[in-house]
Amino acid sequence: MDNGLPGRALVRRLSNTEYDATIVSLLGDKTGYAAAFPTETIVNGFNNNTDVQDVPPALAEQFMIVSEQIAANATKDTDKLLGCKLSAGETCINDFITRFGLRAWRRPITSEEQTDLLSVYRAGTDSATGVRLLLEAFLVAPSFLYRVEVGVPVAGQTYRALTSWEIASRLSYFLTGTMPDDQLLASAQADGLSTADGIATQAKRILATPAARARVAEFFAGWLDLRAVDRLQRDAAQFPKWDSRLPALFANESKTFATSVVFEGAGDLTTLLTAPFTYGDPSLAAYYGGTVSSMQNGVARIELPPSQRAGLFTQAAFLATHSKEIATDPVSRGKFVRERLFCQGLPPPPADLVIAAPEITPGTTTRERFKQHESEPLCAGCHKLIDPVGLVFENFDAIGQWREQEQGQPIDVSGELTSTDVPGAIVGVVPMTAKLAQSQQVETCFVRQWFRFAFGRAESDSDDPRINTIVGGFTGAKGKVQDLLVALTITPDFRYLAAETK
Amino acid sequence: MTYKPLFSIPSKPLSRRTVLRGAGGVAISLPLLLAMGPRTAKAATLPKRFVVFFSANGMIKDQWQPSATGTGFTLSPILSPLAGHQSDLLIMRGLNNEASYIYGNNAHDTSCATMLTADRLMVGPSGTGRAGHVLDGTCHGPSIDQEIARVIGGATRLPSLELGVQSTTTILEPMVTRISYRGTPGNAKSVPLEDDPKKVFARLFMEAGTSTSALDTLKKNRKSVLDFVVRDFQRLESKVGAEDKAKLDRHLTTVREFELSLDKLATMPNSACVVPPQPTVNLNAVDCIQDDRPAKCYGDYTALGKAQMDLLVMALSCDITRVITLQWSTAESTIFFKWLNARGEHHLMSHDPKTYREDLIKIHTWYATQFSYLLDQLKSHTDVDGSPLLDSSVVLWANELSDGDVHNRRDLGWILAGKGNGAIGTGRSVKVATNSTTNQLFASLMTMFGSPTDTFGATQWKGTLSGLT
Repeated sequence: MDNGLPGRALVRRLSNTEYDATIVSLLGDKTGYAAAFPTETIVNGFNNNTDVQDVPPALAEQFMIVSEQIAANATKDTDKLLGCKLSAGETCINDFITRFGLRAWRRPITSEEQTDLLSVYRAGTDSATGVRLLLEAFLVAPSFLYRVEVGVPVAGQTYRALTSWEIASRLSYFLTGTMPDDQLLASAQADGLSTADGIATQAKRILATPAARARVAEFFAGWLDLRAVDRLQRDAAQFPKWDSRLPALFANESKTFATSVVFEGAGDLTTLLTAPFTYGDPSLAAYYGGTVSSMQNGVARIELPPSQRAGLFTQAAFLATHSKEIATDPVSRGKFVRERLFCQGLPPPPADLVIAAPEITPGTTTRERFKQHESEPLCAGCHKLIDPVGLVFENFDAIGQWREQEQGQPIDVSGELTSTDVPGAIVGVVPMTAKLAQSQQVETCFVRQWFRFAFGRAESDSDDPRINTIVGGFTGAKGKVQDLLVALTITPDFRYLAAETK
Repeated sequence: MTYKPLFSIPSKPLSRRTVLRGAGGVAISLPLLLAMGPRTAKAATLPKRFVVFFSANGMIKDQWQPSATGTGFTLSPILSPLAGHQSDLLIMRGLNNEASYIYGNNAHDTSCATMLTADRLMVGPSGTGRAGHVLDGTCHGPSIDQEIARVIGGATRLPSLELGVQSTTTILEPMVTRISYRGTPGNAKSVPLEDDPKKVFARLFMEAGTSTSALDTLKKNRKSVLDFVVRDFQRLESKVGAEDKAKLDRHLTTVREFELSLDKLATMPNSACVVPPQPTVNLNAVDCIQDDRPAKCYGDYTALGKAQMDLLVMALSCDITRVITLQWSTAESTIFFKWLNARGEHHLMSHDPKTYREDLIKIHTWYATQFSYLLDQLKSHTDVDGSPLLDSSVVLWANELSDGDVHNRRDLGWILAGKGNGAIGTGRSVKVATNSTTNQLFASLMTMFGSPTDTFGATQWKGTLSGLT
């Protein structure tokens, strides 16, 4: 393999969103059962990091309880669920186990499993109970909850190749967040996913489905920390434009904008970073001082003031989430740019640091308060990286409204993207987004975000050679996101398993 | 362990009217009713309970510490809401959370992860420092609540319960927002908190109204399913590598524990417990009318906190679990105490204690009021022998910092409330010996809960804490 060996790949459990989506695909039940599960641990913005996917007692309980609720719903019409007459007895049950097992466990079940599942059915005091227990067993089993990959040997190599069944699940969960659809299962059945061409063909087909759109929206929600938008609290006395119904519109705007750009628009990273327009509820036009240029299915395309707004990082969702309840938070905004746009790790503060944080004195701007970070040598190490970036956003208040004055004084939005490949003085966010769009580091970091989302883990130094190859392709494709997603599905990491993990 | 009755406030027999009113009219703990009868149970057999109450961002020391050490002290202004509980408290000054400084990690935003673990951090899931503000990750070892649950949790249906009050409404990393860790040293995982009182209620009282025969059927059915699930785990584990096997095995362990706990499912109401009313407070936004306009509304911090404390007390009273953590907000808490007319959010103000001294005092005093409410409830609910639940409990009020402004992890101000069946000598204010660590307090607590040790967390701070009794 010219790109080197594939990286580490741990067994992956369905995330809460994947669990719900899979129940919809499998049984058509849209209840949303995972709301009963404990809150997930978020790493790098995403809920699918395999290293933190522990199963605490509360979750083990809920897997059982929720399966009982799902089974109770699904067995309201048992014959429909089974696809045969329950009165036909175990012939029907055996047939159901084979057919349902292929979909629920995303692979053909073995004869040993078939026999074992039948024994669960037999444990029921009557046939209806037996079917319910059988369904529960399918859903609480690790074969459902996890994507367990074993692979097959590759001649002359230490690493193993994933089977077409395993690839089908990877493709489906990566691009749609749910189980494989019928076409993908058929392709796996025919071993059609053992070649890069076979995989790419299916990946392109899947990207045209509505489920792919929802999955891409989920990526952006994670990357941009949109999960925190729903609970934003602001005081209307301090922010006259505030309305408690806005957070939902903000989150929706960023997701709609991102998916519209990726699927209908220019499709590239530059547009995501610099577009002087957005998509969302028409009421947002007045909020941003923009104008609605077209409407489709209730979604407005809004042209924004080009000297004020450009792309995802001038949208209210990002700006408000990376603020405090009563004031902006340049540290949070600057930290986001360093960590999520440049993928730069920040060194920890030195030990025994006595931190004297900025005081809020009436009549001073946020920038003046943060001067202390510069003058305090121990703070400066980190904050000289964070603050000059975060303060560039100061034209946007804690609800993402444009402002030119703070505490009666003009706001200074000069700054610099130091220690990056796009240094040099900048004034304000719009020029900064232009620099972000020119940065190779930002392009690489965007690929890294997708790598984390696709493989459910943080990248390590040993992944760099292969990530750089993907970045090369992304640059060659002029930053087209859909091309990046297809490219990820034919990487060695996607198709092979490292020897040491199996 | 000998039981020393140390009642400072006599637990007087209650009339039935008092019971009904005191428990909110509906929520009656039946052990309480036993208070009306003669005491028969042996105190020495009473179970011990462990509760953690967390609030963030340090304190204002001169307004927190009591006037003197010993028994003849006056409560500070911040602790004045606890006046009715002075004899229930062991107020401790001077503990150090030294583990939060190992490897040069300072208490900047990691103290909450080390607060109950007294152990170092490990490089975590976001990568080798590539993407984290601090050395990212998880704690090296388990926390005191989970370790106590490991020792005593098998006796109840739930080994432990982790409650939060607006603890997940943040973009902060897990390490800044999680205080409980379960597992073994080197392999500890953070335990998620439940912020939604309605979900907590469902978990605690899910079998309410179920008949004994229906419950027996449920247990039998669940066992059939779970026995199969265990076999599926075993089949998969035989096919995968060591790391995957370990991960699946951790899940399998909780499945087995859950299966064992089925035997503890009891019908409700039963001799030990009457189901309280379902909480009405909403964690998630619902449509409402505010100022004559359509709006989104949800329960406020105070209402959510009270609902969680009420459930906490019922969970102990019904003996569904004996170990509970209650985490108010997170480290670096940014709660904006509008109802106290605070001028800023908590964390930012904690870094300017000169300007915001009065605001911070109001916030800390407010937390003392909540703590006092919890103690009130633990006192008015009784154990099987009629003594207050508080007497069998050990309630730790912990804060991740001492002086929040400078992120100081030394000279913490922590409080133990309740007598732990005589293991804690309350009604005292103490200054612990110089260089005492939280490791030593936790080793003492482990010993108190039946697992004698002189080591907890990072091994460089051995020993136990003297003077607790």
